[in-house]
Amino acid sequence: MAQILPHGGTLINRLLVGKEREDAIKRAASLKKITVDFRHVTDIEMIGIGAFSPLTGFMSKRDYLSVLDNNRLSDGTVWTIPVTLAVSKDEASNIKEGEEAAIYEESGHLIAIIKVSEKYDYDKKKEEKSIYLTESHEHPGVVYTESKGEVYIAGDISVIDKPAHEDFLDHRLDPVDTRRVFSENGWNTVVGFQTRNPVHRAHEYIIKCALEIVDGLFLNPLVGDTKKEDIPADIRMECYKVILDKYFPKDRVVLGVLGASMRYAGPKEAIFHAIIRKNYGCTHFIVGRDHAGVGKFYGTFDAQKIFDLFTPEEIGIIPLKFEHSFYCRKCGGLITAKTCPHSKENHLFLSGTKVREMLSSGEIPPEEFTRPEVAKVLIDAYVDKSLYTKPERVIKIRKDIYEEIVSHSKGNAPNESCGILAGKDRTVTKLYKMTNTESSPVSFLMDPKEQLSVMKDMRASSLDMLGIYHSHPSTNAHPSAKDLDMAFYDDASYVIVSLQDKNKPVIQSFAVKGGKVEEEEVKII
Amino acid sequence: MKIEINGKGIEAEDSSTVSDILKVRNIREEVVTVELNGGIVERAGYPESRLKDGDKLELVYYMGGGLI
Repeated sequence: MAQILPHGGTLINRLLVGKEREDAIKRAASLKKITVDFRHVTDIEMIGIGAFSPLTGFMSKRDYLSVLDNNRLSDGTVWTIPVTLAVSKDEASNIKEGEEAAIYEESGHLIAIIKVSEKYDYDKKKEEKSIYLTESHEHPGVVYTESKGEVYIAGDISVIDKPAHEDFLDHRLDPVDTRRVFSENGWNTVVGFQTRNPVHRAHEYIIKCALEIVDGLFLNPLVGDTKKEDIPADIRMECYKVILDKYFPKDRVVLGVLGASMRYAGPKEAIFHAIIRKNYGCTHFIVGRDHAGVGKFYGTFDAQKIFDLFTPEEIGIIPLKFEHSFYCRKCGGLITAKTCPHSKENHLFLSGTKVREMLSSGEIPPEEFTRPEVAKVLIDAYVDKSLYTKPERVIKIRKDIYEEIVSHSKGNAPNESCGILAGKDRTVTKLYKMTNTESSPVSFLMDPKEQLSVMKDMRASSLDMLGIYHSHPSTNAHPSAKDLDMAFYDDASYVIVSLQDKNKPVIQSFAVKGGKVEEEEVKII
Repeated sequence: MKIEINGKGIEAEDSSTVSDILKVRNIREEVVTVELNGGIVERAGYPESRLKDGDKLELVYYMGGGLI
């Protein structure tokens, strides 16, 4: 069986070598200069090595609008994410259509030459709505779009130097490399798995389910720009190596890192990720729940459903759609919601926070959750390298106030309660119980008149507003997307009391700034 | 002119409206309650509510949340 064709039929190669490269370097010295950020650098590398085939450069207006409106390039090829080069108006005014320009990294390193075919204005709001399906500034993609230059420069690129990588050199495989390795291994079918996390038992189960029906696995962790709270790539790589070594057949797996940048575009990015893996030579691609999602912007299965918009031939790579998996005590094994008939109490569930706490105190999580060898790598990292740092900000709450908060919450249950926490120097000494005008078990909204009178009272008593509290009568103490959307006070602590277990109320506090949430330590004094 | 916002005296441009004040402070109109000299100003009235020297303005963000 012949190897799967790249998207569009031909594997693009825009890497200059030998004399062509030397000539380009010489030519670049007299060309107009464009300096690009890390996102563009990763895009240039992806185009150069053919991971974005059939793209040969940054998109023309025609292709760009076609992607936004129809999820296709202008020739009809399926494509869901714009790959564009944004520059400021000033920069754009220096660049002429039909001429070449030299592209530099922020460090001043020359990486590519673009043959400018077109420059065009674009509508940021339209792009945000089409790609991220939101205009909310809580979405990192929207924030990025708003920060970009106002003009797009289109044209084919020729890559002079790939970004200088210093790490994972053995695992930096280009599509041409993976295609060769897959072929040498005699694999006709290969499943791609993308991850930003260490591989725990749940991931292992899904990967192995997939591997049962194909010849090989391409484990393809992202090491580009991931989120701050993600575990650093070097530690994850250690985890991958140890789990592959101990629990996977060596001749069935290739480990290669992907230097692409995340867009967090959910469903549209799922298609994009699948197409990239097709270019690497994969025939199948695992799409889990909320693939490439962030916050609560996309439905759990949107990234799986979007594949139904296209015919299998148009995409070419087969999505393998998986539910979350977990250990079920009754089933006696790893399983998913799709195949397990038992209720939640039988499932082993550990929150990310709980796992971090266990690892940082040197405790090995249950074997049903993670392999001990993987746990060891993570514990070493957490303990020795102090990966887990205690929350920086602390909010102290006087014991009698804490008890007042809990009894207020219990008194209003099953409806949510709310209040304003006042005090000085990060120590809460007064609770203003507020009316929840929505009288609802799932939401709260304070009465503006009450708020105004509390604000004045705090001022008159020389107290600061330290926090806003509300209760979650039947869920955990984590903020919901709407809680975050409505967190307008940058300096306030957002305190949540969970009555999920009525006998053991849980109190947690969060700082919310620019869409970022950081847990704070709560000290009852 | 001098006005007071949340108890603090500030210098504002003469004949600013409530809308102007919110714009300058980068506050979205739809997420804030505005009280002018003790009376709540409806949102539709922000562009017409012209402030004068000594006016007292209270601005308070909505406080709410929920699962839906």
